[in-house]
Amino acid sequence: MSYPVIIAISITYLAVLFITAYFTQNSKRLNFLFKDNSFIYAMSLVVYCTAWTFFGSVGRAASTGLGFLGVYLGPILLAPTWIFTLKKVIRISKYLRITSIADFVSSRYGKSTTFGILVSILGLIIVIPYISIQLKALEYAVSILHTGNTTLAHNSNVFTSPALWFAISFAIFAIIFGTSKMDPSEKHPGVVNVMALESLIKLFSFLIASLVIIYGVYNGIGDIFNQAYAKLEMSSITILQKDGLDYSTWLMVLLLSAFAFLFLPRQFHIAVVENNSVSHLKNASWITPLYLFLISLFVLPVAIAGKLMFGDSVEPDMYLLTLTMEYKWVGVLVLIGGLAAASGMIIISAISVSIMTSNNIFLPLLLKIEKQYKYFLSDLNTRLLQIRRVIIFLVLILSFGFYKGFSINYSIVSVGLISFAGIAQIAPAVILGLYWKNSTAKGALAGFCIGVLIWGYTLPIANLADLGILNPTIIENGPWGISWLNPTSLLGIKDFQPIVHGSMWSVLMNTITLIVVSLYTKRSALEVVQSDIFINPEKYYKSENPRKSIIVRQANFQEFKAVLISILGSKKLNWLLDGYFKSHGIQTEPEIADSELITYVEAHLAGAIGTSSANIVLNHLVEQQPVRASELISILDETYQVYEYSQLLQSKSDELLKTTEELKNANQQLQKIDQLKNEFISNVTHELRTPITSIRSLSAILQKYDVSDDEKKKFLSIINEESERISALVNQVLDLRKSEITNEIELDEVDLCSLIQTTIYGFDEMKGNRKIIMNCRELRIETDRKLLKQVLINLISNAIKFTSDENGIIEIDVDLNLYVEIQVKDNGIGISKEEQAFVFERFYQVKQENDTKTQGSGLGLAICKTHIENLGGKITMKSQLGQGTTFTIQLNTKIIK
Amino acid sequence: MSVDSSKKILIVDDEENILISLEYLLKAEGFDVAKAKNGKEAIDQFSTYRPHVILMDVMMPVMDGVEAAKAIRSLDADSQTSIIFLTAKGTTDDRRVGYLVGADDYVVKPFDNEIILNKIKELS
Amino acid sequence: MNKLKDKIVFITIAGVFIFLGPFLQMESMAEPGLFGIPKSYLFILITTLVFIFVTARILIKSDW
Repeated sequence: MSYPVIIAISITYLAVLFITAYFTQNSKRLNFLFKDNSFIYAMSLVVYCTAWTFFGSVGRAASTGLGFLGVYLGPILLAPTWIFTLKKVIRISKYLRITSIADFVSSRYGKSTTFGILVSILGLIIVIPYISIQLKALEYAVSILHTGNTTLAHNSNVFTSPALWFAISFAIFAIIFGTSKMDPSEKHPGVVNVMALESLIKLFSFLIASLVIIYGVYNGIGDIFNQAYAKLEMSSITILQKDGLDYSTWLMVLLLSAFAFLFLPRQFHIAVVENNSVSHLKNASWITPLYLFLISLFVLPVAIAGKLMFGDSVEPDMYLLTLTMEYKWVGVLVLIGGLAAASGMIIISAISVSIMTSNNIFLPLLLKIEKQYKYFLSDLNTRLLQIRRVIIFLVLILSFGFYKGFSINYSIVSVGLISFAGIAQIAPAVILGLYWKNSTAKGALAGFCIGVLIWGYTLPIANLADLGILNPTIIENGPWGISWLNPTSLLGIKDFQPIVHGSMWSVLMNTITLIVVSLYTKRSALEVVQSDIFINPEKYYKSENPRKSIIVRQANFQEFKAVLISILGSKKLNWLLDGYFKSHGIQTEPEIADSELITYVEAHLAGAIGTSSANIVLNHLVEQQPVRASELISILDETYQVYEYSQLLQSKSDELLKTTEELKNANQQLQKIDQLKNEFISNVTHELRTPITSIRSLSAILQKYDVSDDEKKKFLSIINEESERISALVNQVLDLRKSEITNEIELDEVDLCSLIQTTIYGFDEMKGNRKIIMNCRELRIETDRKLLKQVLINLISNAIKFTSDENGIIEIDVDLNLYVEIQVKDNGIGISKEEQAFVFERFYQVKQENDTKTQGSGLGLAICKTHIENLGGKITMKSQLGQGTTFTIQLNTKIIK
Repeated sequence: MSVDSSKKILIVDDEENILISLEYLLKAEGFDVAKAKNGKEAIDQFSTYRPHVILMDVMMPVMDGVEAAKAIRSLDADSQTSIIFLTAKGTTDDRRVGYLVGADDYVVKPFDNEIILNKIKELS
Repeated sequence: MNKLKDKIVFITIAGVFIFLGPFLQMESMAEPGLFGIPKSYLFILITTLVFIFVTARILIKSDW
């Protein structure tokens, strides 16, 4: 592929980036669409996948097999914690208008300028080699595409080096879209959208190229692995080894990657500073891991494919290109993918580092010098942007220089892992800063410095010695022959891979120092205030008046205003002040700016120039009442107690509401039961009165008059009938009572079919013209005969009651599944859905439309239920209005055969 | 037992056995008797039979005694017919409702045969 | 209580992963499994996918 083609492709790609950034940033409609999109957020996080992912993974997989996976697995595993920890970090950062990881750390530890400077320097040190390896990968890729040659031609002419031109283009992009204006929130939506787009391009290109290799060059995954097992030594690639990729390395890589994903300056910037809503975290927690999974899916097969084809003769990082030489279009795709991978990292890193260093190194230092202070303050916004542009440019040129000078010797992955270990030195300060209020600035600084020193010694320096750039005897015998100071085996602890060794020592000593020093030092007043915000952010971001300041400050208002105009511009300042005055009902400008106003303004200022710089600026202006840290602690503890108490109160009152609701329900239940009981009583007495009336009247008639024999017979039979009725009712009531008091069952061997048959015969008269059919299978069971018969009687009489005389059919079926099942079916009027729930309740009688007088006591089914349950069974009902009802009895009884 | 033999009584109750006993009782005392099973039948019977007294049960299907009494009262503007309610309830409220509707008297079930006879006689 | 349960689930699964290590040291895991893919690789792929989907399900269904 000729250079012009490559250049054309690159330029087209860059143009797409520029256009995307421009339009998504400036078009209101598009902006709206993109801003609230958790998918875009999730994709933007993937700027984590750089040329390392695109090229380096394959390279690493080829030598250490599973070793490449840790870098992606780490963040995947920690992703579920984002909704606790990352959410907290985002909330704090939004509240305090944090602009970078250095700002975050510095803010937590009493707005420490020193800490801000140190973290920013670390960030710079780490970013330059990292960018350089991106450039290296790009140049390599271009070289292979151009010459078709798989060895890198060493280009001595700097100005024809593609890496330089890429660096310059990315710098221009970063400057245009990253430093276009001062936005206190430091958000660059155009850039973020471009990052998301590039993530998709990376994935797409990698997957397509891999698929071409797997199915085009080889015949599928199976083919690749079969050949591999035949020709290569597979166990070093597939499992953890004692020497080589061992368990400790595996774990360490997981851990370092998980931290790096959040703490690398560019990652913090895109995950925290550019975040538009914490609600996006929910989706990002699984979408981003899914992406990481997909992009690492084919790495191993491709690496193995490369090894099979080329052995050790070709740089494994470039397998994606070298394996697909015959497919020119794939080459183009890989180039674009590589551009996407590298440019994303470079642009965001450049922007985030420029913000970090401008706010935390340059500004604080310059503001300390009186002359510079005046110069900068005269137009702070523009000055700041200028500084940043210079920084971006410098970083990129330095990275290019680093590449030309050193990167030939480095592998992508080793630089990457060393960088991860470096940024991990921030972790103890951040994590303990979020959860342990007594971690002090002195402790954190001490820990950080020790950690960085050890890291520097055991990793970059040891690496340089290993490469021969520094005297290799350092790692053979230790410096000056002192073996226990050997950077690869401090204190004689050997047998660890350098990355594990270095990370372990540095982070361990970092944490221990932090804890020990914090225990022996006290927090300053400012630290107390700040740490409270970090430990209990809910107190602040939730309340309506969040900026109630605890430290009392005041300043002359006019002086105050003058300085601020130079920083924020008069338009912005007036808008700020108007907002403040309006909400506080202040009509005229005050003479003195009080604590609240100062804190309010400081927040906005911090967003523009960083927390520590804002602090410095205001310190020049403001008189502060000296406060003792201990006073502050007790105030804050008090306010926290108040907060906790109010939370408790809230939860108690919620509980109370719930209990009241439950009581109300219980009361309603009781009232219903009471009502049912009263209904029952009136029903029963009514039921009794009717037969008694006939008996009384007829008996009186028989006594008084001379009744004919026929009539006498008739009357006496009526009296008999009604007496029976009374008797039956009384028995039913007694029965129900008894069944509820006692569970006495008399078990006996019962012939089920004959029992049912006998019961049916009992209804011969009552059934009228209805049909009663039995389908029974021969079954002898152990049960209480009387109870079962009573149940059947109740069910059948109900069925008779609710079916019509002419068409009524009642069917009794017996079956044996898991249980003995007896079904009583009828084709009567059925029971409505609303009433079905209540039929088994005591006293409940189904309302019949045309019959306001209820027949029966409402006890029949309740009795059935109690009896069946006492027999160890279950009774259920199915019914449909107008079609009929089926009662099913399930008995868990012993079957006697 | 000297009674106006043309006195017509309409008895209304959904219980067959009560109708039987009342019918015998009243016929034995020389009254003329017609029967109805519910309020609706009572109204129909009223129009055709034109009783002097109606012994009306209150709780009945299709239409209860109170409704029927109301309807009959509206048909019977010149209140020639007396209505006696028969009911198993006996609370003061029901009696009040009964009187409001235009009943002339009220008898609680189970009733004493003699009480009914006396009340009917009083209404002549 | 639900939040506690979720936290426990996450920690358990992550813990499983970390103790994945011993499995990855077993000689037998180096052998080919389905489609010739090394067992260790399959194991990691499947476990990761399960982890991601369980996470997704818990997150989507809960009220975080």
